[in-house]
Amino acid sequence: MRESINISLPSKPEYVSIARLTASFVANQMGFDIESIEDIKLAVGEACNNAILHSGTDNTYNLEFVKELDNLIIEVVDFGNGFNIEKYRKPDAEELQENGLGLFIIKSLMDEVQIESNEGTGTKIKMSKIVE
Amino acid sequence: MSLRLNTNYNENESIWEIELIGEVDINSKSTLKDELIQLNEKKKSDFLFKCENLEYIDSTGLGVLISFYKNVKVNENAVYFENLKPSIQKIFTLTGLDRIFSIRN
Repeated sequence: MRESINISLPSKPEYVSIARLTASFVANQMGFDIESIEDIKLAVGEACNNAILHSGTDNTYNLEFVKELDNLIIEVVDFGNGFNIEKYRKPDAEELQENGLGLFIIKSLMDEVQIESNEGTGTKIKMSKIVE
Repeated sequence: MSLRLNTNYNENESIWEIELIGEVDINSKSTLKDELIQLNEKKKSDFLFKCENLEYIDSTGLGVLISFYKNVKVNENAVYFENLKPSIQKIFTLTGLDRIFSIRN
């Protein structure tokens, strides 16, 4: 069985909590444990932050939650400026970097993460996690 | 849920005590940032963050704490965290911040 939930949100910080609440709800419904629900909520929050930071405030971005058996697949798509993934470097805590932490957190918490970004056309972050 | 802050200067221990209640995220980070800068201008001192009721923090919130830590360190003051929830402790460990901040339970 495959079910999906689609949401379009304004690219503004005050709406990110809607995305996080939806993530918690869907993950809870699928039977993820509390720790995994927190992980998914944070990963979705970070992907939304990324969408907001890379797109103009007049824009919207899309979120899709797909339930596929015991796999939760989440896509966050913005239509902003995009960024050059080639230039992305894993942050180094010793150097106390404040940038790049969001993507690092997403990659650490989710089972699979794919990022497609093109300068000028926007970014798609696709991530998934399986119920254990 | 948003962020609430209770702040108090503990004269006996010469430390700012900041109780973080709720969520530090992209929406509330500037509230936290502005408050911390104000307190540090009022009195340069050590800072203790009480996190018993901190439900959520993301990379933008951590960014505020990291840059604030840099300001505090210049004056040779320290930043402490206490009573982190497991989900938040996990993020501190993941990002290596547990090695920079003093965390106590």
